[in-house]
Amino acid sequence: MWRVLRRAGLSGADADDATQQVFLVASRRRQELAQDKERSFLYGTALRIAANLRRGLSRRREAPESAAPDAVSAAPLADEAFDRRRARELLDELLSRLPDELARVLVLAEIEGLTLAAIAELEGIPPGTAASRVRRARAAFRELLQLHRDRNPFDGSLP
Amino acid sequence: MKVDPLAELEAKLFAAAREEQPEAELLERVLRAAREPARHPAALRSRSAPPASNRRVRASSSKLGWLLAAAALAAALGLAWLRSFERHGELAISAEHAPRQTQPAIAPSPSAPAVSAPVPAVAVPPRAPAAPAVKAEAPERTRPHPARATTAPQRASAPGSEPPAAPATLATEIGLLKQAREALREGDAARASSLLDGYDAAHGTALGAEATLLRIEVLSAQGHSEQARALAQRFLADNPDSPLADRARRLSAARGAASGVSP
Repeated sequence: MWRVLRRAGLSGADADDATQQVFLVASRRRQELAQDKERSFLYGTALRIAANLRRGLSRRREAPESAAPDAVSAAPLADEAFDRRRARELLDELLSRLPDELARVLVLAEIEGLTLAAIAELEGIPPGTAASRVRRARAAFRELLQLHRDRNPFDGSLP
Repeated sequence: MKVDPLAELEAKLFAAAREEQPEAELLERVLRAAREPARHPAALRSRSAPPASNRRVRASSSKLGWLLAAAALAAALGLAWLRSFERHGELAISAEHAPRQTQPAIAPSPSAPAVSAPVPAVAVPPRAPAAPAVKAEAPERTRPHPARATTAPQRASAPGSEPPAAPATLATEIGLLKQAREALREGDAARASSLLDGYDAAHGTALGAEATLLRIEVLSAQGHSEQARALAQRFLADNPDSPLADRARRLSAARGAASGVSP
């Protein structure tokens, strides 16, 4: 869940807070939780909390927190950890350019490794819709990545 | 074979995201409150800067009850979430933090040789909470009561009670269960069983329900369908409203079908 929150555009600290909020909400509403709906509830709650936090942050910030993709790729690499951090920054940047519904299913499929059935359950959509959405998300992400690659041909830090 | 650089880059980005884990502090904050609410009243608090922080979790002490309840529920619901997705992906709040805890010695090394566990005659969880039995080689074990996942705060705050002598942190417990799940997923049921034994020996209690379900799967993988089914049914009898009950029903049904017995 924390990773989903991170990929939903929250910083690590905000993802921490959001994780706690999710369980606070779940605690308050546990009597309402239907069996087999716990995951969907937690997921939906997490997304709503993430959206609220992002809105609050955007109101407070004058400039966006995330750097532009080109700026991200221009930073030098010091070590492997930094390499991974930069990879995540680039990932977040690319995800932020995708429509929300595509970014969400891509995270669930590629990062969380969920099946289409599980994605459909969490998103509350039919499996067929989930399949086509994941397919579109992968294609769109690949296009964005190609675009990034074309704009940064000398970025040797990434493969 | 020609490697698609774009696919390689894509894989690298996703892998970097998969590797990212929350700081152990987050887990500890939640889990500490679940274990020792009276000693750590501020366990659940925002760590982000004030403008970006969640003010609700830093609210007045009148909300402490909610925080403690949330911590307990986090152990149950969070693990339900994690377990549901375990077959598909890595843990979100990962047990990777377990080695970074203050009491790592109780976590068996992942590289430790698997103990060839004898066929365990597992004593299913008793209705009355019993002191966790340290399992040596006796085949019979007393499983911690699954409901302890939600009763830990009360247990920890009993008047005059001292913290357990060598309690496993919940992060460590999660670490053990994660290792056991991975072993089971890799087909090494004996090692999974051994790790669960280690969980019991480490006085793991908060995730007793989770451990019980995993034990059911291990028993089944070892061919002990009847024991698995009995354990699942006892779990259901003791925890009909547990978030994990439905999974136990499915396991029980599967075990029943496998053994030709109606669940």
